[in-house]
Amino acid sequence: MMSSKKQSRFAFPELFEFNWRLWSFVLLLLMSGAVLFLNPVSPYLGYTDPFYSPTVLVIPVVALFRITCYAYRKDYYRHVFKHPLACKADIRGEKENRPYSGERSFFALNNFHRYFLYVGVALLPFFYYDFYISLVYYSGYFTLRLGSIILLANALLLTLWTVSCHAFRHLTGGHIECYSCKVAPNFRKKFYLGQSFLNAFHEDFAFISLAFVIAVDIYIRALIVGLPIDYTFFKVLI
Amino acid sequence: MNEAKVSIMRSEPAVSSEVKFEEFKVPVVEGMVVLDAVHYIQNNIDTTIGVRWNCKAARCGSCAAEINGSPRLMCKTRMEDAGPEVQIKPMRAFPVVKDLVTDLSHGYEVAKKIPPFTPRPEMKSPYKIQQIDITRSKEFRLCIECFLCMDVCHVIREHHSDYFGPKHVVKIAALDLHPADSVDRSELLHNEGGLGYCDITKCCQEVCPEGIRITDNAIIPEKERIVDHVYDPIGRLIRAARRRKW
Amino acid sequence: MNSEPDFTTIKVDVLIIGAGGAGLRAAIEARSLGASVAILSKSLLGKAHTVMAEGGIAASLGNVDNKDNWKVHFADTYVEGVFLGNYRMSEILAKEAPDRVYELERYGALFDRTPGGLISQRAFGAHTYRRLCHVGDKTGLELIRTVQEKSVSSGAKVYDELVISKIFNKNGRAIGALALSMREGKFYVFSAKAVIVATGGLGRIYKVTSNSWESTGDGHSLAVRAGAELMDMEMVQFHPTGMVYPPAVRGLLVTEGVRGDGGILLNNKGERYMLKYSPKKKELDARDIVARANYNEIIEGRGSEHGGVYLDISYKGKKFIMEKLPSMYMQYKEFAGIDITKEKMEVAPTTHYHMGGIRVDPDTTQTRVEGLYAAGEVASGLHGANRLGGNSLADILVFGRRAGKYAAEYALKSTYLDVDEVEVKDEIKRVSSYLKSGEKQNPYDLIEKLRTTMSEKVGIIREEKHLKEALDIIREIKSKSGTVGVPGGLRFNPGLIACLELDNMLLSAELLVNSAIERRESRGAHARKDYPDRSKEFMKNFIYEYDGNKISMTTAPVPKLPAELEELIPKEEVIG
Repeated sequence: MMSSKKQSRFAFPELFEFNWRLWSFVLLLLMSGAVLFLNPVSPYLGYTDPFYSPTVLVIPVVALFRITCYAYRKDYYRHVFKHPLACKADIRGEKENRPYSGERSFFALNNFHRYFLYVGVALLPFFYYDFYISLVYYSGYFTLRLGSIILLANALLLTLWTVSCHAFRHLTGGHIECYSCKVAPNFRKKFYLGQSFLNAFHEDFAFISLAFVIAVDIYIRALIVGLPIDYTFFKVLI
Repeated sequence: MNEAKVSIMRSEPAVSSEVKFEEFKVPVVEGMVVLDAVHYIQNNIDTTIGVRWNCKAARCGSCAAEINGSPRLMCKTRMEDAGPEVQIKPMRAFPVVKDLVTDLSHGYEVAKKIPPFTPRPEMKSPYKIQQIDITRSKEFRLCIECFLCMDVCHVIREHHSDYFGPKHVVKIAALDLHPADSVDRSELLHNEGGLGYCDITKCCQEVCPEGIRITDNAIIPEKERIVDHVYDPIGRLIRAARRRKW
Repeated sequence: MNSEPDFTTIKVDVLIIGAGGAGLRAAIEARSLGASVAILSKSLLGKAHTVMAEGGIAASLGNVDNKDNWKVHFADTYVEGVFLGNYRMSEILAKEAPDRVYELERYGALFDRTPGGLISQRAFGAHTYRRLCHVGDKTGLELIRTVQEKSVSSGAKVYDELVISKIFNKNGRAIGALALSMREGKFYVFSAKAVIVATGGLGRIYKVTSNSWESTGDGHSLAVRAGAELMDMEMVQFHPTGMVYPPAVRGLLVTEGVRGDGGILLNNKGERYMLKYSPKKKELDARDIVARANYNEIIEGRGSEHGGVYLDISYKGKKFIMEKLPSMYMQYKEFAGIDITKEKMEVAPTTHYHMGGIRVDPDTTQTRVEGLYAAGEVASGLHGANRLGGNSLADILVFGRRAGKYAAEYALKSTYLDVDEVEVKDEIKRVSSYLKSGEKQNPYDLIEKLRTTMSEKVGIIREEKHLKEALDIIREIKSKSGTVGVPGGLRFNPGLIACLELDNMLLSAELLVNSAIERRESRGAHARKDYPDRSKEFMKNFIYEYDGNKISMTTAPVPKLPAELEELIPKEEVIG
């Protein structure tokens, strides 16, 4: 077997390949970034846009949390860099002569995923807080509106995605070799098993939650321009 | 009686560089698997077809091949699922010995580099181990060493790197998660094992006939262990502080 | 072929033929004593038939039933072997099995645990107590991985994908073997001070069998031709539950663990017929009794659609089944499209194990030939006329270790004897002579005929008439076997291997049928329709030896049980 040990650790051959998928994605990212920063949305009748919770400045960190997530990594290594595109022999799209360094050079940065995870976890309560704010927006009243339910669903999806994260699972229970040596072994093992169960759907949560965040952003922007797509279920005095 | 066309890739590189596909007509009976078809050909048409097999019950993992382009066990692939035309190739990630037989000796060499089970010194035999501590390691002990995950791994198949490969990461995870084991093999995996080459595209997990979640439960946890050691300075400081027991 | 046969010689202290549980365990022991070891394997390392073992390892740890001890295990083993076994081997097995299990745990095997954190043990057919240490229903896989890893790390050299064609005997001593490397297409001579045969059984001589491709009785032929004796050849165990449908998987094993964990047998009327055949032990009686009960129900027309009986575990619920019997679930799902958590399984008896084999010294496992040892399924004496489930895994660990120990001790105090070059070249010529061009007999046709004959005529219930017919057919096949040949070369040529195996299979089959005719009684796994009762007169073993030309049979009385062991046999059992 040929040894590739001698390859420079800081070569990133995959990035130099021309790839319309990658560059159109980067373009889209820049455009949406411009929209988010240049046209910020302030809370609308108690609805906080998830991109601005708690502030638009956390977007880069959250974006890095997404980019370094194992689910997204799989996706862009496959579909952007074709390493490989698919598993079946005839549609792999992988070739022997293509340079490859995996996560040993530039993409070794993905190993810092857990730091972004910490930020992600710290941000989660804000989404529930936004939900709460939307309920008590009208002072003296408790109001349940469609928008609130959407905000709650958004918070739940983000929670599922975060909790099912591989790095999170490793930090809470995955690093433990001996559960019975710990306090409350059964609880910790069950928590780990629960996380592992969710982990099987991590990729689904990753993409559904991302799509949902964008959808909520569009929803709130639509409300701001005056589209009548909200519905009040009830409004009671408290 | 139904009939299937089975096309088998024939070659013997030590003798000639010629590679050809030979087509055989095989009568299909109910419940027949691809390995049965190969046996039919071997017993009745051409006795020289090189093929490995042992148990024909998906327990030993000998009969791995690429059936219609997908790495699979021949004994676990039904003829009716493979279709009326079946193409069988050897596992292309490995050097061919003859026909469907490939040289897997490199894999066995890699296995020798993995430090064996080393019990913690305080463990007294008979061990006391709780059931909740063994379930994770048990998943990896289902591995039948069929090499399908190694075959489908692009790092090994197309890039010939010195990455140990999914099968060996599974083995390492099985040992690392043994509740009585005292060695951490993740640093070996990081340095000599080249786990950094793995880009978690999960093909190995897709093809595993035992349903082991190779990437999610073995590779990524080992990557996280490497992060613990190599890429997490703050975590390292915290652990060092904890060990000091202030 | 080229004019001069070419070969490479490798020198080693202990040569182990067979890389199943017994061979690998022997290697670990021989290495620990400082002998150099070569393990020869017919398939890849770790693929041996041991991986198919499901239920567990029988050892009287007493973790679940604390009344259990070696004495009960001994009595169970000896009584279920219907007094044909060697008491000393049963005694050694019962005494040493617990140590071997704990040792396996120290090597890194992860057994299922009791709530107290000890090794869990499950019930199995005809074991008085819950005794089988298990790893789900993949105990064999865990066992072989553990000893595989341990033997490789202990420095034993493994040569895999070799076919052994001859063990060389010089001056009454085993001095090595000739091997054909399938991968390289080259011959190797292994020159050794001691040779261990651990090649497993001969189940492949039957059509309906749970055994994998290696089990063609190679070790039996190799050993008897090298001067060892074969014994109890008629004793073939039929496992009560093998798969029936679809035809492609007929014979595939359904683990006894299904019954151990509560599975019940039903006929097509829905009757739980084991209540009738064995009111006390029911489904968990010895394998011969349950197998014959199943056979009887099928023969008498109370069988299932595809000629089996029903085995039902579905009432235990999905969670239980997925936890305890995951590979059975997979097996039925993948191969038969049946969900065993909802539906009943169809099962019928299948050839499973060969109690007979090479005659060995009970303590040292040495054969009659100096420096030649045998362990595992290929050896005989331990199981007598019937084997208890779980005793085979205990057997390979206990006697595998003993073979390794005594072979290494012998090897370390002896010297090499050079293998005769003429003998090597003759043997290479014999093997190469199967490669022919032009008109020749296809070996597979003869193998197919042999296997069908064995399953039809030498099955679970035997009869003189059918046995004699079988013997005639075997001799007819034998007369044709001189003309077998295949095209192609030495490298990975399955046809060539089939030629060599045919030879071995014919030898085993002939001796098996001959013994079956001679044993005019029903004892354990050997059931005769024309002699349905057990007879004291047959408290003897049939022994075969080879004089260089032909094989002849002698008999020897079964070793008499000493008084202190006889005490352990339950009162209601009549020895004889």
